[in-house]
Amino acid sequence: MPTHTAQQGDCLTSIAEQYGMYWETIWNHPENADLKRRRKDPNVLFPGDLVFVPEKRIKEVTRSSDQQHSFRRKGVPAKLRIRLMDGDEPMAARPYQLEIDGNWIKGTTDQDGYIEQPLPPGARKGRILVGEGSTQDVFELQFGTIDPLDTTEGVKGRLSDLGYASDGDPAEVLSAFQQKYGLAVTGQVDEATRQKLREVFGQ
Amino acid sequence: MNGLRRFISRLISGSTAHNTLSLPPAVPVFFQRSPDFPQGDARGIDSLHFQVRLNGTIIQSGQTGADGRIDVRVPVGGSSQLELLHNGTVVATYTVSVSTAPLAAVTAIDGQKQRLRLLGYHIGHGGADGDGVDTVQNMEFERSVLDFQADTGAFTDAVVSAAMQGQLTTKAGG
Repeated sequence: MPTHTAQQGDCLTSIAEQYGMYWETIWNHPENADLKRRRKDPNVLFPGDLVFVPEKRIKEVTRSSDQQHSFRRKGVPAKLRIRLMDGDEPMAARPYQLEIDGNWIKGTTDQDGYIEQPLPPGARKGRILVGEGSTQDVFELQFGTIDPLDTTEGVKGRLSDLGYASDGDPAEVLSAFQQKYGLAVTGQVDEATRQKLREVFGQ
Repeated sequence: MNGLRRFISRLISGSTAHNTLSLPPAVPVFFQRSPDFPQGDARGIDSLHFQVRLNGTIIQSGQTGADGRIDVRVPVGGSSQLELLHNGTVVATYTVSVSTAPLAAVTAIDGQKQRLRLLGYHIGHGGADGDGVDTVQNMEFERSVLDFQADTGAFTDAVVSAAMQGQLTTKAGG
């Protein structure tokens, strides 16, 4: 019964696929009760989190030996759901190309700027090209890398995704966010700021 | 073209969460010929090839149109590097950042110099930051005022009148 130490880029679905299990089997196991209480969201782990991986249960089925049988391994579903914004405006009805591990998908953002696509649990990197010709905007994606919101990295990552400087003065960046959303401007991370970040970022 | 790296979740099927990715705000930058050229688009330098870097990564590239405008993406609280290219080689680099500090009063020389500089007029290299902004009434400042007056069709006397102060505020901000 191994214990998996989460690395940057891991999440429940990628760990579940690695060990050939459903993510619910791992997440709901009593040995992971403390992890579940701390993280709350199975989509977000922090590097160093210890994830208990239970033994596989053997499934037995009876079939006749004089016929050929097909057995299908049930997949571990994951998806990406991204909302693209330009300032306060959604990038609505914009053609895009999405690359996931070398495979390209073409599509159009919906009226609210959303893109939703299936995502292989083991996928690590991707790219979205929005628009056409020399005016393309490019988003390089690193899957499974959003850290919990109660960590410094989680706050910085969300702010960076929202267009704030990742290498700027943290207090100045936080103050700009707080001012934009009518929060008390303290330059510090407080519960109201986290709540607003969760709301604006979407997770 | 490369892009800015974004942190994304793999979401379990059925999750109603999402990840919002915002383009950094656009800061319009104009490349124009020196004063005394015609107004508007005719002053713009077109076909300037450029690229914009953020944290060393190219996030934009293209070339200017007739008005010489580049909408440079600059993250809030940070800066971007605007690079001009000639035959694929970087020939000039500008650091573009946004200051939230208010401009000095337009009635004061430093406030007038700030606005003239923002509008592309050469005001020398004085001041603590070497950007030309100080409270000294010098020859570069007078020359820039004359240029501004010529460009706006005003009487050219190098005196910053109340009317010119109003124009400076309108064009470059309060």
